[in-house]
Amino acid sequence: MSFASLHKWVTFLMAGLGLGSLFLGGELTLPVRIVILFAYLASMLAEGSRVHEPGWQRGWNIALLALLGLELVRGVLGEPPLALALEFTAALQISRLANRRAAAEHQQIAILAFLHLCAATVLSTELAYGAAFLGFVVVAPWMLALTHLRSEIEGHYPGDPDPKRAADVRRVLASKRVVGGAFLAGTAALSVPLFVMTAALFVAFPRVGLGWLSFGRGSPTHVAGFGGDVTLGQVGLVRDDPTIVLRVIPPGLEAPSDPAPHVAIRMRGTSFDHYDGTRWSRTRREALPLPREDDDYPIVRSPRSSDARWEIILDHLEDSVIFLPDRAIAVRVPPRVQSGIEIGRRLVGARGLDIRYEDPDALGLRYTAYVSADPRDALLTRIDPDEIREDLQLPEGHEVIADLARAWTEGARSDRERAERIEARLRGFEYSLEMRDPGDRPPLVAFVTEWRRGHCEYFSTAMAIMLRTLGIPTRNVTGLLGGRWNQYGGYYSLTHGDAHSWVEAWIDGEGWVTFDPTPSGRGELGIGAGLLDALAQALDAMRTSWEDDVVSFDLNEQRDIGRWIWHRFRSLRSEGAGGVESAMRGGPASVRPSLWPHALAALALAFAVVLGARVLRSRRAARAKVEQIPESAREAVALYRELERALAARGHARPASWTPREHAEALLARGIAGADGVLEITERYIEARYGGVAIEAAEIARLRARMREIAPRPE
Amino acid sequence: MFVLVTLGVGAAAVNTGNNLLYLVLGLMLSLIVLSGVLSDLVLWSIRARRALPARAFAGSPCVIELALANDKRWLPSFSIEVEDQAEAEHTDRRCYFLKVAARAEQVAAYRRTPSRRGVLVLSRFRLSTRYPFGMFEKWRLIEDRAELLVYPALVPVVAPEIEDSLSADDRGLVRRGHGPEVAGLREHRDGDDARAIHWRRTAALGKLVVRERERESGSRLTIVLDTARPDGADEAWHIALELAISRAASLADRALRRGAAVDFVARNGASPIVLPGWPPDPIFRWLARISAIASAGAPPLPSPRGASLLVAPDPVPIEPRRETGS
Repeated sequence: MSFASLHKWVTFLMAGLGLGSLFLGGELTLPVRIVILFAYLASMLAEGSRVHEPGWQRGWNIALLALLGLELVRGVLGEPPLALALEFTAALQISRLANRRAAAEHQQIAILAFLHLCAATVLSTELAYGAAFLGFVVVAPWMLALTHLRSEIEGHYPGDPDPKRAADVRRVLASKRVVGGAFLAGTAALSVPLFVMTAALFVAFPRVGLGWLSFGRGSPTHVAGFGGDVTLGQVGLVRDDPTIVLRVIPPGLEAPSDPAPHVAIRMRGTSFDHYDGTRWSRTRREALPLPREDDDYPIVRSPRSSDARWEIILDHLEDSVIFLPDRAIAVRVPPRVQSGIEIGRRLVGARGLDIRYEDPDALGLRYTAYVSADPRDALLTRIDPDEIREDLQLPEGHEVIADLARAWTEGARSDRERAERIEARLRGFEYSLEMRDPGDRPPLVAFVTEWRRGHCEYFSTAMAIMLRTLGIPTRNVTGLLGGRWNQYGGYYSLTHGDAHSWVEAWIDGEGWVTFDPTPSGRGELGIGAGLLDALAQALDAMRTSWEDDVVSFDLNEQRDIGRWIWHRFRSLRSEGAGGVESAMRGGPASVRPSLWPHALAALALAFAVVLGARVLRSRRAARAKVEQIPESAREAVALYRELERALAARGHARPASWTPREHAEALLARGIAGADGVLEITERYIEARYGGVAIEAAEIARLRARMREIAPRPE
Repeated sequence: MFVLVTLGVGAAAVNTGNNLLYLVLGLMLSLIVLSGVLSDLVLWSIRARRALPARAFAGSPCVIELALANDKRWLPSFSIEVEDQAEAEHTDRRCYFLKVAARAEQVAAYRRTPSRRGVLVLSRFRLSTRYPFGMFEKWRLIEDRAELLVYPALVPVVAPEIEDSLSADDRGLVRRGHGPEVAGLREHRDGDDARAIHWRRTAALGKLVVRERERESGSRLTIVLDTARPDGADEAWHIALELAISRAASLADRALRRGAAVDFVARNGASPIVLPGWPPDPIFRWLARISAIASAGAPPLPSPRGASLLVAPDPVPIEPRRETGS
């Protein structure tokens, strides 16, 4: 591939990465994306003499000005300025791509692509950005090196009024010998040290951001069931959505030996106390700040060292609810760091154990839940007698439910027994996502009297209403139930499809007790075990690592790494002095296995393989020197090459370490026959090729005649 | 431009605390660091040398060859500019090597126009590169001293009229020149025209032998060059001296072409005589080195026996610049 072709494709690759990163985050609408994509592809066709025509350049300038005017008008009319700015920067890039005349335009394309990459940081924090960034790590050295070489070529073979000189630039750009596969592979190999340096600098930059211009980033994931209300049937019908929303590292998994591939981890989200026949909602919505003890937020009591710790990584969700495992008594949430100052998170709690956090960074949350092993801690939660009636509210028209509840619990002697009986009876129903039209009847009545099949919300709602008819305070709880082991990330992941509904009933002497009346075979998600599933797991682990180790990296983690390095250093010193100290003491906060070293190793291996293949190929191929022959010197160069061939045939080949002049002088000094002719042709060759001296055709003919004296043609 | 954008990204990262901007900043700074390292790498294990032309005249361009060898085993070197630096003279032309493959050598040449006659000392090479990203220039000096004897400039002159002035004592001399008849063979000397080499005899004797041809006339010209510097000689006189030397060299060249033997005499010495058919280099070399002597106490000008020509500086006063105004 010629230099110009290679440069063109690398330029489009770089510009494509920049434009692609603008597509992240959904600021640009689909029609605009299609237009940009079409213009990007069409600009590949713009080259040759067309881009040098003044009319072409003028047309683009006018079009850009018109677009700017249009964007301003749209801005005045109230369209979002960020989207308009992105559209215009994309148009600028397209205009540069369509006007690729010289190195200067290519430099502008590279700079614009970098600016697009920067702009995308406020659009998305997803792993897709990481992929675009990684692409930049590989492509940027190609682009910058090729653009610099082009600039040097243009500078040293100037396109001055002399058309021959201008032709020289075109000739060098059309050369296939300047750069090739080896150049690409070698420059791509630079991405490994580049990546390592980038990572080191990323970790080393002090995180003392002033936060003057911080933006909310990324679109939150919508998960039904955690807002202000939930309609019956809204939660249970998302069973097939594999979007991962939560990752959990239960206690004891720091050194997993053989974790179960699937578990039922119950992560409670929120609860509802009012049911109107089709919809659950909350009677009271006011929330109060949770007390804070350093980074701990007690819910029932302050955490103790004996409490089990659950590490939880929560995605950025539309409803910033904090998910808790059963019997959680407190949470620990690390503070945000702004301007080098730690700012504690604000957590608020509402009635029904509805705990939410403020999410100004829109980055999700990593936190620790403390779970008590002591059942007596549940008694620490008090139920307000004034509020108890809110957990006993009943919808109208559900008398048949009350009758059924009494019938099912006849003879039961305690609230717990009543609850267990109802739970057991409902579990005898069938789980189904196919729901029918209840007609004029309340759906719950149709469910318990006729259908006897449904999904989790029907079961939990039925049990809640039944218990309430029996005077047992009950609330309908939404959360997640499930967990698939991610071997790459070392955590259990819970998806949107794991959304579930169950009940909590107040049992005297026990507190709030969880009951789950949904049958156990609640239509488990299809579990893949093939390559695609492994790939999906690896991608999620990378995404988690990206969000946790890159996007959310802050001063606290910097301190942790600094401490770890310091301890490691001291450990090595003490080992050197004969002492033994654990190197891992005081290690970084994260104990999860990171995928980055593996990814880096795989990348390095791939590069090594490609590089090795190129080296083997290049060894087989003859190495050709780069030639730079002015038009005016071609005849002289051809003559000199003929001379070299003739001399080689006579056993006087020019050693690689000698210049042509040195060789000719050496032949003369050695008294080789015809050396005077060799010297004369050599001098004329040097003058023509490097001195810019044009040689007349007659002179060439004379030199050629001398050439024949040196190497007579065979008769 | 790239550095400016990097600074902008750095400011944005600090302002926003956005980790992704820190990541981009890390990448851009890494590119800058890498650029510096690679620029050094380009100049590692690079050797440079030059091949000087046989003749160089003041004021006329001559071509100097430069060879750049890359001794690196695997890595090619891209985009190297070589400046052949001279003592006391500015080098305005540089050689550019777009690519020197690994374990290969690339040859280029540049035109240098020596500003004055005498010894031009080429002292060292300055190798520089902005590869790979054009952000910074790295350079390296390679000491390599070479001397190029620059002959006086040749200027247009009217060929001197020379009569056959051989005296009786000179009758025995072979009348060498550029005539069609071969006068004999002799051993090759520096400056001999390579076309005069007799290859068959050279091969037989094992040393270079050249043909000598008879000249068409039997004249000899002695050029008397007066380099005595008068008291109070100014810049104009020195310019006139250089012009006189150039005229003398040009006259000698023309006379040799017309078949005369030429030699130079001056107050403080004489040049070798150059016979017709011989290259003028001995007298050019003598002229390249001649310098002015103080007129006070200087020996008198010699008086040659045969045809001679006096060449002396003829200074034209340098007019002081006058301010003009209305």
